[in-house]
This record gives sequence, C-alpha cells and structure tokens, in this order.
Amino acid sequence: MSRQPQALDYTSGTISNSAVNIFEMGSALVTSAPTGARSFVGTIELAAVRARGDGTAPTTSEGQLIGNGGIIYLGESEFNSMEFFREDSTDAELRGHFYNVEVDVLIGKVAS
Amino acid sequence: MITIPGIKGDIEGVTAGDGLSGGGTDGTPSLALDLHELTAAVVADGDFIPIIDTNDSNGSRKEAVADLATLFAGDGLTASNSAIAVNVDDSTIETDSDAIRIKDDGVTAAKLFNLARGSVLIGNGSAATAELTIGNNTYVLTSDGTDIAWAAAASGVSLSGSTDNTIATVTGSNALAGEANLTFNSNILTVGADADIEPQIILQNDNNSLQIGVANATDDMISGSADGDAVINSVGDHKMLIAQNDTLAITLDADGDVTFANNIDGGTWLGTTIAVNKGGTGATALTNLITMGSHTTGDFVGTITGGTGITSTGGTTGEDVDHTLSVDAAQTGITSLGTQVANFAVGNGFGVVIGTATQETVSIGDGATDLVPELQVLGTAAADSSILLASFSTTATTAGSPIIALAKGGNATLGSHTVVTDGEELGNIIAFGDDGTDLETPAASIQFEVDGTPGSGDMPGRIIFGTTKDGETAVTEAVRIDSSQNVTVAKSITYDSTPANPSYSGVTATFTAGETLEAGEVVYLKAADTRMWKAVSVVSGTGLITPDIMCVAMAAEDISAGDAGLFLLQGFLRDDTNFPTYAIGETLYVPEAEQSSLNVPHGTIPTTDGDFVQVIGWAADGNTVYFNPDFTIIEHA
Repeated sequence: MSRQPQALDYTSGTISNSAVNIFEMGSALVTSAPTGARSFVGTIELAAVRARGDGTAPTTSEGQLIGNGGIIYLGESEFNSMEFFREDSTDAELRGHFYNVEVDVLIGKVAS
Repeated sequence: MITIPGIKGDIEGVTAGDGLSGGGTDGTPSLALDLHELTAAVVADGDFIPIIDTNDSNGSRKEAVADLATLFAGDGLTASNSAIAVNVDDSTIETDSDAIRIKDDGVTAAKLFNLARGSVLIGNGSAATAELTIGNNTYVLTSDGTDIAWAAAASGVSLSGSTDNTIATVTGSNALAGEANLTFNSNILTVGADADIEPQIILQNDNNSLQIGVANATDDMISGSADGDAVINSVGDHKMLIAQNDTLAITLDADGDVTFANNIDGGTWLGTTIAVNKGGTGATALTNLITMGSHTTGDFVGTITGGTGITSTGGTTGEDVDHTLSVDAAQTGITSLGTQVANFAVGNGFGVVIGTATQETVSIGDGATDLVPELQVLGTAAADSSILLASFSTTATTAGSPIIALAKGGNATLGSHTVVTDGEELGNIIAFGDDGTDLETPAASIQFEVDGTPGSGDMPGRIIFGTTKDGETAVTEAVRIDSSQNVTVAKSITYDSTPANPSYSGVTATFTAGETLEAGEVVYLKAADTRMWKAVSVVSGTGLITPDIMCVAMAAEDISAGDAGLFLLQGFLRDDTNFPTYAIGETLYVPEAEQSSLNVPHGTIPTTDGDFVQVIGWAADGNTVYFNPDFTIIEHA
C-alpha cells in the first residue's frame, strides 16, 4: 500500500539579492528540516527567481529561471543545496510545505 | 528540483489585443496580426518600432527610434536623441541665422569663379561680376572714376644728388633730393664731414648708447653697465674730448686716463681712497700734482717738523720723502705726558728722576751699602724737592686719605707671594744727610719689622725709631713699639718743664670725670663708680683722701661731669688762670678746700686735726706745677 502524503510543516520567506536555501530565506519560518521530511513543495510569488543546485551561487543573470507563480519541488537532499536569487530588482516570496513522502510520490510518475 | 510554471486557471476565451484581430470563446480561436488595430501614438525618443530582421532569419525584433535616426544620419548630419540635425561646425557646413555660409576656405575660388591666373573679379556695367584678365607687364590698375582697367605705370622718380645709400630730403614744394652728407647703409647712419648735428642727439633705444669712433655698436659694448644706463663710449685709439669755447677742457685718452686742462672747481670727492701715481705725468714732486701751500683747512699735512720733545728726521716736505718722528733722546722740553689710559710703565733698571737727569745715590741705612732709588725728586729748595700725596674726599676714613705704603713679600718673583718671617724688615723711612762726601749717611730712621710669627691674615709688627749717635754712621734703636703695643725707650724721657699756658707735658691717662673738672684740679679715683672726683685733705670734706684712697691725678684739661678726659699722672702743667701764684719751688699738697672754686694743689700744709697730709708735687714757677704725687700719707694729729 503506497504512502499517503502528509504535510509536516509550513514555511515562507523572502528571496532577495543574496543566494539562500529555503532555510536561509529572509524571515524563514522553518530554519532546519522537520523530522521525517522527504520533500518540499512551494510557489514563487511577486517576482521571478533563479536557482542553482550545483554548489555555485546563482545570480540575477545565471541560474534556472523560475517565473512568478512557478511551483518548485525539492527532494530531501536539495533542502540545503538548492540556492535561490531574485531575477531582477524585486524581492520574491517562496511559500510551501514539507511532506513525509518523496517528490515522485507527490507528483506521481516522473518522466526520466 | 522540479519546477512547474505558474498555473493561473482554465482559458475561457481568447481576445484580440492591441494590433491583433480575431479571437473567440470556444472552439479553436486564432489571432491575426493587424497593425491597423494598433493604438495611435506619437513617436518619441526612447520608443521602439517593430522590424523584420533579415540578418537574423527574418525574426521579429524591435528597434529604437534613436537607432534609426543614427542609421539615417549620413555625412554632414548628426543624430541625437532621435533627432537628425545638420552639422553646423566649421568642419562641415555653417549656418548664420536664416542664411547659409561657407566656412573659411570651404570652397575654392576656382569652384566659384573659375578665374584664370592673374585675373581679378570686378563688377561690370550690368552690376554683375566679370573677369578682368591679367594686364601687361608693369601695368598698374587705374580707375577712370567709373571702371577700373590696366594701364601703363607712370615713369619713376629721379632724386638729384643721390648716390648709393643717400638719404632723401624734401626740397622745395613736395620735391625730394638726395642729401650727400647723410647716408644710411645697413644699420649705420653716417654724417658727412661738413655736416653738423644740432642742438643735441638723444638716443632712446634699449641700449641708450652713443658710439664715437666705432662702426658696430652692440648692446654689450661696456661690460657691467646696467641696462638703461646712458653711455658715451670712445673705442679704440679715439680720445674723448670735452671743450669749452673751442678750448680743450677734459681729455679721456685711449688708456682711459682723464686729463683736466684747468682746475677742478667745487664738488666733493666721495671716494674712500685716491691714489696719486708717484711722479705723475711728467711731474717729479708731489707739489707738482697737488698744491697745498695755500690750503689752510681740512685734513692735510703741509710741512712736517718736530715739536717740543720730538725730533724730526729727514725732509719735511715733498713727495716720497722719508721722514721719522721720534721722542728726543735728551727728553728735554716735554711739558706733559698727557692723560694716560693705561699704566705708565718704566722698564726694570730704569727710573724716573724729577728735577734733573742724573740719579742720586744713598745707602740702605748703614751708611755704606749704595742704594739708587728709581723714583727721585731732586731740587735745590723745598719747592722743587718735595712730594705730595693729597686726597680730596668726603670720606673721613682711611679709604679717603692718602697712604704711603711699604710692602715686603717673601717671594723673589714679582706678583708671587710667600709669607715673610719673624723679624723680617718690611720697610724703612730714613733721613740722610750729606757728610761732605755723599748722601749715604743716615741721621734717623723709622723701621718697620715683623714682630712675631706671621700667617694668612696675621702680621704682627713693630716700629723702631732710630737715630744716629754723634760720631757714628748708622742709626741705632731709640724707641720701639712692639706688637703688644708696649713702648720701649732706649734712653731717658724728657718732659717740657716750661709748657705754654695752658698746656702740660708728662704721663697722662684717660679717665671719666665724676664731676665737672677744670685743668689743674687734683682728683682721686672713687671705688663706687671708678670715676675721678676732687680730692681734699680736710677731714670734713666730701673728697677726703684716706690712706686707702689717695690723690692720684690732676685734670689735664677741662672735663665735664660724666665725660672722659685726660688726666696727668706725672709731669708739668701750666695754667695761669686756674692756679694761684705759687712760690717757686714750694711743696704742694692736696688742698683742705677749694681755692677760688678750684680744687688745685695748695702750697700750705693742712693744719686741721684729722686731715691727711699728701705731698703731690712742687711749683716749677708761679703758675706751673710739677705733679708727682707721693703716696706716703700723714695724718694731722
């Protein structure tokens, strides 16, 4: 019997002109991974951001562009390694939940 | 990370926006580009317009209006903020208000007029420009008052009397003529031999120089002259002459020497030195160059001669004359040595003799050993053989009085000090008499000696008064006052037995009077106050003498009560007023009572019972008493 997703905790924070992970966002509600959290699902608001998970900090011009309203899914291993940076001069907000199941469980089958 | 673009909701319809047409709410609506549907707007700097970029696969792009303006601005045009303007700088095209003008050299004459070489542009009869081609050789442009044209030039001007470099001068009416006496060649203006320059020449160039006898003046013709100085320079072998009424007055020759033909009258020589060449020019004596014979003022020496006491040796006048001034060897006639500003020193072995030239010889006081004092005053009377030391001072102490000082040191070097010894003679004052042979025999002396062991700040001394006995040549001691201030007399002491009135001679001492005393009054010493009181022999008297308290002295002078005064202890006293007239030779006693209010000796023996009789002397004459109290006392019974 497959596991049922359960939101373990909720967080939100500000992504500004410095590279931050989800625990380092400005005014982050959660600053460390909740016990049992296997994934995070959140929505970008107010402005676009750029993201990098290769260890190099993103900038306004380099990194994956995620538009305003875009949804992001993070695995447990990306909680600390995925960093965000606002795309232009407007700060963005990221709001979402930590879940007790992996990303693939949340979204179903993911194409390889 | 997995991302999903933002999902806003289901599409319920498509509406054609600005520049599009079509759309719908069901089925498969489509949109078509319809530029006619665009909203009208005013194009402004900063706007963009869509283009098809043929350089990028005909992609749809936008292009700024400003970029289009820049693209369209060709040569002579400049785009700025989407506006294209004609360049107005002088590198392209200039504008002046509403007219167009061409920059300097912006178009060649050939482009404008296409004139042939030598042609000129003139206005013709149609008030249009026309070309006037070049005229014939030497032709000049002439005007007839309406037009101009080329015409042959008038013949040249010929100056009469001119040669090369002649300067033209005006002659007659607007005519020129060559001036034969003035020429100008290069930078030299030459005045001919017969020409004069009157009344003056003024040069006002930077050099301010007037050159005479030199062809090429330069700014540096006199080294060291300040720029702007006025210089008259005679060069080479040319003299510079200054004359007055055609008579030569001053000559500056080629050697730079200046010769005055006449006198130098007035002015003051401001130099610090003046040198006269010995012999001068043709002169053999100084007076040939400078005459001072009639000169009576100023600092000069006319004739050098020796004054009083000064010997002049050599010529007294003239140039280059050896001359010596020296103090006369005989030193005669010198009236004053002036006021010395340093010690007047005479060398060792030499002296100063006042009154004559030869020193006299005395002895050291023994009548045999020669002594020639270095300072002598010799004369034939008191007036020319005396010395005086006088002090005029308001100081009443030794510091204000003259001193004859005799000093003796124990060291053989002047200025060095060694203590003297006991008995050493320190100085002598000796009086010599001429014995018919010389002045070496002393008659009397005062000798000063050390009396005791001296030391630093300690010099015991004695004075010895000596006289030379009859038949002898040296003085012997007569009286000594030693360092204990005892007086030793070698022989007897003789008192004056006939002293003048009122006076006394004898041995005296100072005591204080217990009551007012007059000279001649006899006294005793009261034990109660150690003062002298009148002594009487009568038993009822207040000054009664007793075997224990006797008459000891006589007042030698008038003494007020309480004052110190001299009392005669032994000797003669004369007082014609205070003494009664004594019988010469009579014995005198302490009086029983005062006589004429004076307690003087009495010639009568006391007769009252109980009186003590004391003999105190005898009468040398009627008013002179020899006071010599006898301390044998007798009580009258």
